[in-house]
Order: sequence, then C-alpha cells, then structure tokens
Amino acid sequence: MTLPYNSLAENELRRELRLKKALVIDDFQGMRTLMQHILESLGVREINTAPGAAQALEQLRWKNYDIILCDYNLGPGKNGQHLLEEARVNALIRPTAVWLMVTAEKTLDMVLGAIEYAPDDYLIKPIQNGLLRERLGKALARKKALAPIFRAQQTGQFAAALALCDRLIEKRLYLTELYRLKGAICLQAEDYAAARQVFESILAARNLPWARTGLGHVQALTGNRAQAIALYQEVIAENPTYLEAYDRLAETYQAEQKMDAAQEILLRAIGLSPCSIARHKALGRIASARQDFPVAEKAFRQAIQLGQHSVQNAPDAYIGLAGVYKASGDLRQARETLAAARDLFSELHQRAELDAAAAQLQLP
Amino acid sequence: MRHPQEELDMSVLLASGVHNLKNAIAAFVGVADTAAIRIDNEIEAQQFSQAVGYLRKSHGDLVLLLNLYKLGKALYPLEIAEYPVADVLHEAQLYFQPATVNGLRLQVNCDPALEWYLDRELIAGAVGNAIENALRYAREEITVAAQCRGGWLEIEVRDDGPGFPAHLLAQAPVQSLRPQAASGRTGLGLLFAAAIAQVHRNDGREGQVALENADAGGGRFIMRLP
Repeated sequence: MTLPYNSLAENELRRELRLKKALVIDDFQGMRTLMQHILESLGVREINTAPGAAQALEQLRWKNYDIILCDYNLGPGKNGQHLLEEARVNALIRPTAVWLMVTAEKTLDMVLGAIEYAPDDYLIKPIQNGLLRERLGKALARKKALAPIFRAQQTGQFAAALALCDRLIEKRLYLTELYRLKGAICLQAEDYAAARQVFESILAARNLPWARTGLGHVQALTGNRAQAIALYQEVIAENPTYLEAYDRLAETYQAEQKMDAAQEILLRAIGLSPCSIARHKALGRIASARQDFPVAEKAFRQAIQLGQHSVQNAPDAYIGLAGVYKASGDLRQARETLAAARDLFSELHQRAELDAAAAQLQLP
Repeated sequence: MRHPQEELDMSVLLASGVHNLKNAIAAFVGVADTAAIRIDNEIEAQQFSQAVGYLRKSHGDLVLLLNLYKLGKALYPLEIAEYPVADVLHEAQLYFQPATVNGLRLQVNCDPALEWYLDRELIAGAVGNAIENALRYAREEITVAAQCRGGWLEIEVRDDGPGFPAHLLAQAPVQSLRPQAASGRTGLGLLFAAAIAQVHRNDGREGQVALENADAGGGRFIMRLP
C-alpha cells in the first residue's frame, strides 16, 4: 500500500531519527504516551514530554531539541502558538529544529501569525504513524536546506540570503516557498525593484494571493497607493480568507487618510479571525483617530487580553487605551490604565515608553 | 408568533455538533490503536480494528464536511501552493486507512517530479475519499494515477468493479449533484470532491470532477485542477 519511491527515504529517515532529540508537549497524558510511542516506533531514542507550556519552556531552555511535537490546545494559559513564538523570540530552539503543531483542525486563527513564527507543519488529529513519519521526514529535510537562509535573513545579511535562495532554486527545490522568501527578503532589504521582479515573475505563471499582495505592498511602498489598493481589493475578492491583504489594505487606506474604509476592512478581518493582537491594535489606532471611542476601547482591550500570554506583549495597547479614556474625558480610567501597565512592564525601554506616553497625555 | 428555531442558524448548530463529534472520534481513534495491541483474541482484535477503521473513515468524512462548510462560509484557510503530487496521493491513502483492503491491489502511477498548485489537505481528503469508495467496489485492483494534460492536473482513481450507477453518471456537471440517500452510492463524497475542486482556480478556470465508466468496465473518478 505504499509508494515505491518512499522506501529509500524511509531507511534514511530512520537512521537520521536515531540521533534526534524530541520533545512532546500535550496536556493529556494519553496523548503524550501515544505520541511518544509513535516517535519511538520511527526510531527516535531520546524523547522527553511536557504536560504544559511552563514545563515545556523549562525543558526547551535546558536542551536543544531537534523535533518538537506540540498540541495547539494546551488548556488554560498559553497555547501551542504562544509557546512557539516564545521559543523563537528567545532563541530557545535552533533554526534547524522542526516544530510540528498537532491540532483538531486547521482554522484561520492558526495561520494568521507572521511567517517567521509559523510551525513547520500542522498535523490534524488523530495522528497516524505513516503521516507523522512522512511529514517529519519532509520537515527535517526542508529545515536542513533552508536553515542557512533563515540564519542569514535574521542577521540582516540579505544579499547572502538571496544568493542562498538562488542556489536552491537552481536545484528546483522548494520553489514556491523560496520565491516567497525571496520576495520577503527583498522587501526587508528595501530593494523594491528586485521585490517587484520576484512577485511579477510568479504572477506571470500563476495568480497567487501572496504574490499579488506582495506586488501591492511594493506599489504602496513606492508611492503608487491607488494601484496597491486595487490589487489588495482584487486579492480579497478572489481569496476572502487571505488575511494579509486585509491588513495591508487597511494600512494603505490609513496612509491615504481614508479612515472609514480602513476601519471597515479591519472589522471584516477581525470577524474572520479574532485572535491577532496586531490587528486589534491597528483597529484601536484607526478608531481613535476617527474618535470612534467605543470601537477603539474594545479593540485595545482585546489586544491587551490576547497579549497576556504572548511573549511579544508590549505597553502600546495600554497606551492606546489610556489615550481613548483621556480623549473621552475619563481621566481616572486613563491614569489607572497606565498604572496597570507600569506594574506589568518593568524593562527600561518599556518604562521610558510609558513615561513618554504619560507626559504626552498630560497624565502624571 | 415566531418559532424559537427561526432565530437560530441551523447550519451553525449542525456544524458545531459535527465538530464535537469529529473531535470525540479523533480522541477515541487516537487511543484505540494502542488499545488494539492488548487484545489477545485474534478474531476480537480483528473486529475491533475493523470497527476503528469505520470510525476513522467517518472521521475523514466529517472533516471533509466541516471543511466544505468552512469553504462556504469563507472560514477555511485555503493554502494553495506547489506540492509534489505523488506526496499528496500518498497522503490520500494514509488519511483513509481503509478497513477492508482484503486482497485488493492498489497501484499508483505518478511521476515523483510532478508538482502542482493545490491545497494539500483538501485534495488529499477528496482523493482519499475516492480511493475509499473504489475499494468498496473494486474486484481486484485500484489504480490511482496523476498526470499533467493540456494545462490541467488530472488525478484519476480507477477500479475494476461494476462501474458507477446511471443516476450518478447522468448528473453532469457534478457541481449540480444532489445527494441521494436511497441508492447505495449517495454521491456525498462526490459533492465534497466537486466543491473542493471548484475552489482551485487559475486563469479564469475552475477545477472539476467527472465520473465515467471505462469501456473495459469499472468506474473512473477524475479530478482536474487548473
């Protein structure tokens, strides 16, 4: 019942897996045991387990794992995505490590995050040995090939990263992903002509939402905002679940001072996927500018609530909320909001940000 | 006076019911595999794993159903990217580990280098469903084949059974198909497949699903993606 071309890879994989260290994160004992059994049956020898986010973070600090098998839903508190972000931001996992997210189903909220914090793959429950082996093998190979690019990109060596992309493209491996990566790196390097070329070459072959959105972004950054808006609108009409286009469109409307349109498009995106902190903050800022205080207050409150478990939690949502209270004349709430933020954020730059905000809002 | 039901969106209620059922099955199937090892009696063990096989199949159906619902409500995170087609066909078999393979041969003909733009999860689910269906009707052999033809990817699942009944063949295009519970083949899986093919668009073209009976006998399920 298996395809012949997989048999070689299977032996190779088994040999490779013998040397890998794996961490299984799940809040149910039964699932941890099951996943451990499956990994053992694939040849992994060193396997640790963690019943929750706190224990997992502790273990990630102590050992360099090669494979992380993590349930998305970990009960109250941090979920699998929070954990992954924290591990990446604090460099608790190496760029070659493979993070597989186990979930009951794929939802829009899961794929909303920035690409750099995306897991290497999703596995839909119930996990099957064959499927796990297949995906694990592919993810390990892909990570091994792409890690040098990610490393160069993260350290700002954009030219080197692009050269590494081209070398893999010549081998005709991971083509879609490499072009997408190239486009993102060109944008980061602010080489808009090169970025445009990447996106247009993709679009010449096929109308893909990320490439069209990328081209829109290039247009917006080079001053052609009307064209950018048209591109984003087309993407949304054809791919209503491609959320990046909504965020970019809102951003461009805002630059054009079309605040009503910006708010409307963000509300639509939040209706589809209510868990993005950045999107709630963006809505809060736009609604504040429109003096739509009820919407702004709700948006900043959501951002604060969602931020609780995120490693990227920052004072800006509190500052935004304090601003809303100040503008609507509730000085007491404004002061309390900033005070709450001071209790939460103790780092020097965060304190400085809060002090500056207090001064600007004239709230001692 | 309005009935309370009118205030409710039945489709949302049904979807959340299906969702819970799907997760319950997944939880059961997840531990059932390890539990099966502990059954000593060979016949009981076989019956147990067959029952688990049916549940696994139901889980796959429910996942497809929910995905279809989400596609309709624009809630499905469609991810169309270039994938090796052979990998997707391989995963299609893994999704629906069929309960009864009993002596049937499954042939897969696909160039390992062939890549196409598709949503891996959806296509693997739909093709897996077609394979499952073929397994029920095949006499000896099932062939799964994929190739690029005239700018389309063509995935074919062929069996050597009695072929599709006339009422299914008559309802072309498949998009307008209505499930018929009375006959053995309800066409529900086909409806899923057609909807899944349809969200694959390129250059003004939409994916399609067709059914044929081969001249030499047996049914052919064909999915074309632009």
